Amino acid sequence: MRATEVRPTGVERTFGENELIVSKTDPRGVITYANDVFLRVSALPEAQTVGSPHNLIRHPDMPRAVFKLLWDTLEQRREIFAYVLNLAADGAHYWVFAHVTPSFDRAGRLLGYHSNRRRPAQSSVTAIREVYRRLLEEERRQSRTPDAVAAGIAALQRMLDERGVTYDELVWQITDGSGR
Amino acid sequence: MKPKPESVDMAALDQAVRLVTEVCERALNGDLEARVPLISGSERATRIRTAINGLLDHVDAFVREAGAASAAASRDGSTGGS
Ligand SMILES: Cc1cc2nc3c(=O)[nH]c(=O)nc-3n(C[C@H](O)[C@H](O)[C@H](O)COP(=O)(O)O)c2cc1C
Repeated sequence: MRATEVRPTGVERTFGENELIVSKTDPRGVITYANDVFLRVSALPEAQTVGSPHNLIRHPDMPRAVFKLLWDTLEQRREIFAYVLNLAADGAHYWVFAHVTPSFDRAGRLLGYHSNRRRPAQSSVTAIREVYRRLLEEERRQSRTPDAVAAGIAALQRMLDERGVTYDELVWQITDGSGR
Repeated sequence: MKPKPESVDMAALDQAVRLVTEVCERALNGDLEARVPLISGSERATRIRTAINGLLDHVDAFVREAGAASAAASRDGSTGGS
């Protein structure tokens, strides 16, 4: 849990096309490393970031289902690509296209997780916003968190079935500009 | 004539050189996990830390993305060549 609730100001922040926002976590999702771009864009000092759980920058408009999918995928030792809306400590928000991967040592033991994020195209943000809006709408009908997660996952599955695609295919369609 | 140069924290610079060397040696051995930890006391030490870590972040991201692309290619049934 974040120590103090940050209120979104509605100010959007972006970062350079060639910049990478990088963080690493331990297997539980506690941040062990954040690069300078992460700290700048998130308006966070390094000392406050390292050692905090990664929901430090969680934005309330991110569907729970997306994080459920992220963790389920990582727990299967698989990678995931996802669009994520983050909340900076000063209330600004920023969209990223994240590639999250597990890190293993040479013996194949899980060391933790790694996320590298690039700046998404504006058209991709428009497309994913609409997807997430529908998931949130379903999630917000529920009062209990587990019910909200289940409702979000079910809504996501319905959307994928409607389009006849997998989650990965949807993400790549949105990234390649054919996801509308 | 020349004003005295700003005092250089030799201990911090020394520490920076040692830490950067260690991290580069680990990377050379194929371990892209390591990063230079926080070094206080010297602007120059902080800069070299940020530069080395940024370089490693880009290499690391590239390796991970290349892995994802080749996994996708093999899922697509492409033979992938070699
Ligand atoms: C490597 C890694 C990177 C993550 N990056 C983010 C991120 O940028 N923003 C975010 O909100 N959650 C991120 N998460 C997910 C968080 O751990 C958490 O599941 C999410 O913020 C939801 O928090 P909540 O369960 O408190 O709602 C990341 C997790 C991992 C393992």
